[in-house]
This record gives sequence, structure tokens and C-alpha cells, in this order.
Amino acid sequence: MYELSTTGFDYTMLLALLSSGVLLAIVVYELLLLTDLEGNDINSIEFCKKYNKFIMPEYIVQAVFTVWFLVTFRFVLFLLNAPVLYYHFQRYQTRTHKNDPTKVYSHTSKMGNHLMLKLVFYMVMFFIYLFVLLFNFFSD
Amino acid sequence: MSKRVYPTDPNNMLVQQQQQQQQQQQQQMQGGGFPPMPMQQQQQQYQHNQPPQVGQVSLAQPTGYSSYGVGQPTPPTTQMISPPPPQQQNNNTTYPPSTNNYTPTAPPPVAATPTAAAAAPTTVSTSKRQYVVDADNSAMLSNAMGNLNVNNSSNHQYPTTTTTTPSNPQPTGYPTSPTTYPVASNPMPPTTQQQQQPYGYPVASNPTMPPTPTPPTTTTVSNPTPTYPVASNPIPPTTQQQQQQPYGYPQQQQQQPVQGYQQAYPQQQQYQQPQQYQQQQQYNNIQPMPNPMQMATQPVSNVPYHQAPTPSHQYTEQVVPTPENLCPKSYMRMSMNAIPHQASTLSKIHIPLGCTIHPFANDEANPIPVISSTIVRCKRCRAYINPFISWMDGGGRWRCNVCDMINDTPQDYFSPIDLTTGKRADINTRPELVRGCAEFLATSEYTIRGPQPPSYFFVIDVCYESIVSGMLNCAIESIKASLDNMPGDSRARIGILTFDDSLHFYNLKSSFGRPKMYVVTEMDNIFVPPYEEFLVNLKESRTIIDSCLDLIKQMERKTQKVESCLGSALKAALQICQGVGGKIVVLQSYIPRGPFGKLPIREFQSVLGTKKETQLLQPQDAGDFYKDLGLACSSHHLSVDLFLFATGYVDVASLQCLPQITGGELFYFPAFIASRDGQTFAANLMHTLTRPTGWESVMRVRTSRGISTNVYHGNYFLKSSDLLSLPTVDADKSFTLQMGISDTITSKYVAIQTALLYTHSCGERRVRVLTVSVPVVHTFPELFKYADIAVVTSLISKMAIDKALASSLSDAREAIANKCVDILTAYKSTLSSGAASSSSVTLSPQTPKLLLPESLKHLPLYVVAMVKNIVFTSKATNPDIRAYFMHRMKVVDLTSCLNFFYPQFYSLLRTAQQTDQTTGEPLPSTSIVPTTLKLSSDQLSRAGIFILVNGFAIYMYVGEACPPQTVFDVFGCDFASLDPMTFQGLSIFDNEQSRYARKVIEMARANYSEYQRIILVKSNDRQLNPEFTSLLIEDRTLEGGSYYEFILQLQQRIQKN
Repeated sequence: MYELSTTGFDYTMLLALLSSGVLLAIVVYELLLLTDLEGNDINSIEFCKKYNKFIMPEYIVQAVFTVWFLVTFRFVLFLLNAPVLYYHFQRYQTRTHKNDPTKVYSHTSKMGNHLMLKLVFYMVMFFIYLFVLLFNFFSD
Repeated sequence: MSKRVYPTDPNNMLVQQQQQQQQQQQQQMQGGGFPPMPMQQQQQQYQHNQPPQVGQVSLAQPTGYSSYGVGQPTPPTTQMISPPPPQQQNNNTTYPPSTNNYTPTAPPPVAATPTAAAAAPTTVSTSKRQYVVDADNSAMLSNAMGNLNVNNSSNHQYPTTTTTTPSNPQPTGYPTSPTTYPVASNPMPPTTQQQQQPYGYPVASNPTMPPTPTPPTTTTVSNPTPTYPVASNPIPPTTQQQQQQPYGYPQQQQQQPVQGYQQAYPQQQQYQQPQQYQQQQQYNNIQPMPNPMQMATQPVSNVPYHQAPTPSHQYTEQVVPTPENLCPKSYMRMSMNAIPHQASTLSKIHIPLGCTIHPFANDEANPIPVISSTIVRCKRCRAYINPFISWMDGGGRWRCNVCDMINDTPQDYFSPIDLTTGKRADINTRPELVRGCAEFLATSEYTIRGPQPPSYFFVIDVCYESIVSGMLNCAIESIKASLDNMPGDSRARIGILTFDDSLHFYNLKSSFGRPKMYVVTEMDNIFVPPYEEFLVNLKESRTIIDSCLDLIKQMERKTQKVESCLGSALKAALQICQGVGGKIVVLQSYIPRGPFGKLPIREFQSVLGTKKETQLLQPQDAGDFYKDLGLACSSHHLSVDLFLFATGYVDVASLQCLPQITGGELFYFPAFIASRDGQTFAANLMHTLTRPTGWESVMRVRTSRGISTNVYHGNYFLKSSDLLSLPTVDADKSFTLQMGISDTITSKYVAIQTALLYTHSCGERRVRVLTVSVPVVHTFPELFKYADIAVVTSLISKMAIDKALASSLSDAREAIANKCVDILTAYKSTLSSGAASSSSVTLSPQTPKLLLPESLKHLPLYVVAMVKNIVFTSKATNPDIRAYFMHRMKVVDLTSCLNFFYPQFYSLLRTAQQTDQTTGEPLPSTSIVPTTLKLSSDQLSRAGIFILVNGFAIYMYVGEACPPQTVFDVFGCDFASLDPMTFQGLSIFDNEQSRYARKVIEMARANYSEYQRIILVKSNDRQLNPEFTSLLIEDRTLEGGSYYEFILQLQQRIQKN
């Protein structure tokens, strides 16, 4: 419960807020790519090239902040982020995090669902960070 | 020789005998040996789910056009072999009007002119029709059609043809009422008979056979005088004919406008294609009598189309799919020949919905016509015009059967509708409107560049092992031998690159006189010498190519290198070929090493049988290089054929990406030794180089609304969501499409259209269009009845391979068995009590509760076979070999796929029973057709010689107790001196036994494009004998229980559910 006990301006939260904004942008971009793919506006090779570029940055940003929350004893935020970290780790471990142009069409709908879930998650996190930031700022 | 379609049913002999008995009984019951009524014969053809009696049959027979009987996997060729004499007579008696030419006593019915009659038997096109309708059973038929939800929509157009119209929507092989006729009680609807029934079809009632007054064309030969139904209505006794005559036919007044059209649109004539319709023209010439219809109706000249009495916006009736107008099954075959209308029904019956597409199938019986007229396509969905569209406004507009869009007919494609038939007047000059397979010559808008020349670039590994194993010699000899037969004549191009730890380029410019070789040793950065003569015209540089091949053969003898930089060689090959496209043929002896595409050796012994085994079947991370390379090749219209010859581990799973993405082919020869495998390799390589091939092709499958295409299996790259990019395509590539139902289907038929755009070897750009139309049904029994076991099995195996790669082999095995249980449980639960007895079969008297639909009665057998097959078996298997067969199973055609799971098993010795049935004398060896045996060791004896053919190899089992004389006759030596290691094939000896054995093997080989080498198995061989017995899948083996045990288990599981 260290999250809400800090006083003053919380720089961690500010950075977390910005990062979740970046993650949101990435997910929205990926969703746009996916709709392009489904509409046959881009081909699968191009899609994977563009999409795969953003996968590792997304994973890294998410991982860095999750670990940082743990280090700074913000356990609630850490626990909220941990499942996603685990999911990303799993994907990375099984080498399924990158899109394969030869198989991408067989799971576009699954990918769409994943992206929508992620979008919701990052959005929720965004507002939580915002809340924590403002709460701490005005708590004194 | 067409391919054999099916494995044998283990009980086929019994079944056949039973049926013969039944048939005899039936004949007796009907008195005086009279034949069953034609309708019954008819019926039985539809329902004839006769186990494929392949063994007896298709070896010897070119597979005729089989009835479209759904779920009837094999052409009923048995009947062709032995049509009992009485049947022939039956034919005459039951079809008096049609056969009156043969029986002079019968009075000729109506105006069937003698010449026409004489011409009729020669036509082949009509002979395949099988359905026959008379007034008596029309009611029954219409009931059946009601079940099918097929409307007799033709009535409004033909108000007077009430007796005949019900036959109209009768698709052959599609529903007739299941209860009326016992299943397959008469096994003899021989194809030969069918051919004698050219008149077997009511003319007016059959939309595919328009009695167009003029121009008469090939297909109308059977209706010489355009309008006489009687002559063509075979069944009704003569009295009935007379009754029918007055009202059974369109009136002459209705003919009038047609005459008018012909006056107004004389240009139809110019669309006739003389070569194809010569026969018909001959017929025209010899027809001595004026057409009575033409005499009766004065041509009404100058009647413009718009004033025609056709009501505006009137549709022609929807064309009913029949074997004649559907795309032949060899090209496209559905897993269900009737489709449920909603997704929940489909998921309830558990039968996978899909189709196999084999666009370049070798089907000599059904050649695809090439059409040079305008390509008419739907504006919205871009579907091509096909027989199943419906015409509106008298032909001025047409409604697309794929998306229901109403399109205008282009000016130069317009032809009026013949009111009597509801068909276009020029239908017989438009093969694309007659049959669901056609090939259009594409215009320039279908090309992105000039037609590509057929081009072959060889990338040959010349390492130590290639030379020692004899691969190099073998390869060079077979390349030389095939240079003369390559497709593309003077346009073909050839290039050669050899590599070990360096790359050797050969400049083959014809003016040089001898080849120049460039060696590039810098491997980190591929440098291709800046010359353009690495890929040269075959004809111009023929001599220099020959000398180059000789050079390679001599030069490389000294090499001792064991490094093999396949990755670099492929990159160089890509650079050389990327401007042209074509085919890269890679011969590789080692697991790739070198800076690019190095594949680490994966340790597999310890993980076999565990969950981790799956990873060995998937490409490893380092294999991404080959995936990327494959994508690059695919985008440059290059396909890669990969021949692997490694002694050790070569990581087939990673390398197979290359042929898979580029639409190439993979061959794997484990531990290649030229003396043993050389023949196989040479035959396969030569076949690869000389077969007819389509270049830079793309394929797209369009489906009606409500049907979704889910997964494709095969070698392709999906360029966009439904566009398969296939750099080359040929007869050895088939594609399997898994489909689903996304929306409730409201139409009566759904259409599935495959369009393959490719460059022919001669330089023409062509579009091959294959169209299938399938009725939508609402009842469960019909869905089961019209399932097609061949495609269902193939789909299940492909889904299981995916499953094996995604999770594990044991999951895949389980999934296969579960699928079978699910399907049969669904069948049981949807079965109404009354229908159970007539349409279901049981497999064994011990399992009376296990009911199967007639169409899927071999499913359990295939399930057992699949589970024990090398692809899925639990036995520890080299992952290379397993990955190879997994790859192959996704690509090979239906026949090879099924025969790989359930191989054919023959005795190689003549038996005493094989005598002529009439004279009792032994038949000459060449005319005996071998019988397939059940795959069980019951059949095996130590005193015999057997072969087992699975499409990849022929296992020849020689028993130690076999009479020495017989062994000597067949092999020319005694049992002890037979050596499996050096055995090459049967030598030629002049005795009956040897002739017979060689003939059987020759037949077995002729059915497959892949050359099958003979593996000799001696019954006392400790190593090979277990391998052979594990192929006898009906027995209990280490990998699983016997077929019988499985059936018992199945019954238990289904009862539990």
C-alpha cells in the first residue's frame, strides 16, 4: 500500500503514466494494422514487418515498469501488472510473440481479441496511474 | 491410367458375394430373372456405398466416371469388369425406347431418325447421366426433393411437363428417399451399362440437355430431333409413353420465339469451336431429315429480343448440380455434398466441412476445355461465369451464384434463352456454361509482366558425401536425361550452381564454347559475379550445358570437403533467378552449415515419445532464415524443390519451410545409397523436371455468403487473406481447404469457386476455373448420407497434423479418435428410430449397437490406420522421417493420402481361383486383376509372396516356406540368396508367375506419380519383418489395438455418450 502513502509529486507515477500512454498508442497502431490486414490493404509480409517492430519495445516497457513497481514496494500495481508480464514472458519463451507471415491469417481473429484485451488493460492502468498520481499530489 | 481411388474394404469379397446373392434373389423375386426396375438400379447407384473394391479394379481399369454418388469413394469399377450377361439384356428390356436401335423388334418411338440413333451410341458426353425418372416415381422423387429443400421451380416455365419436371432438380448422387430402396442391394449399375443409355434422360426435364433446335451440338446428339421427350424417356412402358406424348412436351408455339432469336442473332454460329464439336457437325451433315420442328414453325424474323414473350425479370431456373455440370471430383471434391444451413448444425454433426482442390489433376477422362472468348465475371465478387448462374431478362442479365449480384451480360457474350429448356441457345458452344471446369485464356489485364519462361536452376551440393553416396552422378545423369523433355520448348532456361564450402558459378553463354566456372569463397557477403549468363536458354546453350554437367561430374571427384553452405548458395540462387522466377532445384547432402542458415543439430533420442517431441517437428529458431528466404523466393515467383540425402540428422522440419512456402516439393532419402535408392531418386527428379507445370500462379477460392474459408493445407503462401501465391503448380500439388459456416445460409445452393491464374509452359496466361455447387439441406440424415469419406479422412488427418504440431502427438492421436466418436455419436443421436435400419450399417455382428452412416462406414478403419501410421504413431520414430511424411501428407492428393494410411496389400502369387469364369480355364497372367487383401496377418502366409503398396514404397514380403520353384520363377534365385540390400526389382523371366508378379508391380506403380522402390522383406529378417508387420494395421501391434478392439471400444464410448 505504498502507492497511496507517498506524498508530493510522484515521478514514478508520472513516468508510468507516460509509458502506459505509449503502450496504448502501440496497441492502437497494432489494431489499425490488423484491420488493414483484414481488409487486404497490406499484405502479410508487410504487416508482420511493421507489427513485429513494436512487439519487443512493448514487452520491455511493460516489464521494466512492473519490476520497478516491485522494487519501490508498490505491490498493488505490481500485482495488477504481473499477469500481463507473465503472459508476455510465455509468448516470448514459446517464440510465439512475433508474427509469422505464413500463419498470420489463421489467427487474425484471436489476435484481434488479444489486442482489444490489452487495450482495455492499458487503459485501466492509465487511469489507475493517473488516480495514484493525483491522489498523492493532493493528499497533503 | 487413372489413379486408384481407394483402399480396399477388408470385407470386399464377402460383400460382393453377398450382393451378388442378393441380386440373384431379387431377380428371382421379380420373376423370370427380370432385372430390377431401372429406378432401383438408379437408386442403387446413388446409394452405392460399396466399399471400394479397388484391388480388383482400378488397377486394371481406367477409372471411368463414377456416379456422383456421395460418399461413394470409388468409381464402381468392379461392375465394369464383370457385367453379368443378364444385365445387358435387362438393359434392353428396361429401356425399350432408348435401346430400340439395338433391338429391332421394338418400334421406333417418335421421330428418332436412324442416323441419329446410330450417332447416339458414339457420344460419350451423355452416357454418364444416370438418373431416370418415370411418372410413377416422380412423386417419390419430388418428396425426396422436398426433403432436400430443392424447389421444382421449373414448373412455371413448363406448365405442361408435369410428369417429367420432378426429375429436374434431381442431382445425381443427391437425395432420393432413403427408405424406398434398400441400400446397395444391387451392386451392378455398371458403367458400361451407363454408356449404353445415351437416351436415359428426359429431355425436357433436364436443364443441362437443351433440345435446342439449331444449332444442334454434341450434347444434343442424344436428342436428335430436338423436342421428343418420348424417345428419351426410358422407363415408362410404351403405353405410358403414348399418354405422355401429347402433354409431356413444350408446345410448338413456345418454340417460335426461339426461331426468332436465331434469326435475330445469327452470330452464335461464330462461337462454335470447330475442333471440339466436329463430331456434332458430322452429325449435322448426315442428318437426312428436315427437322420437323423447324418445318412446323415458321421463323419469325426480326423479332428483337425485347419483344420476346419472356416476361421481364424472369429468372431461368437455378441450375441443379449434376455430375455433368459440376466440376469433376478429381479436381475439386467436397467433404459433404450437401451443406447444413447453419453453423450450429455443422458443429453438431462434427463432420469437418472442407474440400480438396487439385487443380492440375491428371484426369484424362475429363479434360478441361480452353476457352478464348470474353471472360465474364461478376462485378462485385469477381466470380467467373459458370454453369450455376441464372439468367434474367431473357439472357440480358445474369445473377451471380456466389454473391447474388445481378450483372449485365456483355454485348458480345449475349445469347437469347431457349424457352423450351431455360438454357441459352448457344449453350453448346460455351463449355464454361456446361461444366464447372473451364480454362480461360487471360487477357493482358491478368498479367503483371511478360509470361515467364519455364526456368530451372539447379543448386547442387558437391560435398564429399554427395560423391561417395553416388548422388551427384545419379543427379547429373537424370538431369541430362530430362533436358530434352522439359516443358516450355524453346523458352526453357537452365542454370547450375554447385557448392561445398564455396560457391561455383557456371557461365553458360553459348558463344563461349565451354562453360566458365567462377568460384566464390567469400561467404559472409554473397557476391554473384556480374554476368547474366548463369541462367541461359536451354536450346541455345544445349551443348555447353551438357559439357558443364560432364565437367561437374569429373571435377568434383577429388573433393573431400564436408562443409555445406546451403544458405549462401540459396541466397546466390535467389539473386540470379529473381528477375525470371521459376524453380530452384536443391540437392543437399548435409545439414546446412556455414554463415547463413546454419542449423544446429538437435538432440532427439532423449525426447522421443515425450511432449517435447513436437518441437523437433517444428522449425527451430535458426530455421527462420529459411522461412525468410522462402518468403523472398515466393515474392519473386520462385519455388524451391528440395531433395535431401543426409546420412545423419538433417532437420527436415526446419528445411521444409522452404518448399512449403514456395509451393515446391520435398523429397527425403534417408541414408542415400545410389545402388539402392538411385532409381527412385532419378525417377522422382526426372518427373519433377518434366511434368507439366504452371508458373507464377495465384489461386483464390470464392464462396457463397455464409461460408467462410478457415484454413488451407498444402504448399502455398497466403499473400492476402484469400489469395494463395503458388510460384509453380503441378499435378503433384493438392490443396485442402477447411471451411466453416459463418452465417445462416438462406439460398438453396452454395457455390464454391476456385480460380487459378497461371502461366502455361507455352507462354499463355490462363485462368482455370473450377466451380462446385452444393445443395443446402436441413435434415441430419442427409448430411450424413452425403458425406464423402475420402475427403473427411483427409481433412481429419490434416487437422490432426496441425494439432500434433501445436500441442503433441498424443493429443493428435486422441483428437483423431475423438473426432470419430463425435461423428458417430452425433449420428446416433440424430438418427430417428425408423431410419436406423435402412440407412445404417454395423461393422461386425459383435457390435450391433454401433451404427454408422453408410457413407462413413470406413471411418473407424481409417482412424485405426491413421493412429498407427508413421505420421502419428507412438513408436519412436526419427523426427526427420516423421516431419517428412507430415509435410508430404499435407500436399499429396487424396488417393495417395488415403493409400498411405491404408496401404494396398496384394498377393503376388497367382491363385487357383483366378480362372476364366465361363470356360474354367486359367486366365493368362496379363488379364488377371489382383485382389486387395485385408491388412492383417491372417492374410499373410509363410508360403507366399506379398506386396504392400503405400504410395511411397512397395514392401515385398517373401515367406521362407514359399515353394522353391515359385521363388525361382519370380526372382530367378533361391530364397537364401535374396538380399534386401541389393535387391533392385524383379528381373524378367519367361513364365506365368513372373509375368503376373511384374504386372502387379507395374500396375501398383502406375497409380502414383511418385516412383516407389521395392523394399524386400524376408520373413526371417529380424529388422525389416517387424517394420512390415507394423504396417498391417488391422492387427494388434505395439502401437495400438486391433481394428476389432477399436470397434468394440467405439461402441462402448458411443453408448456412454
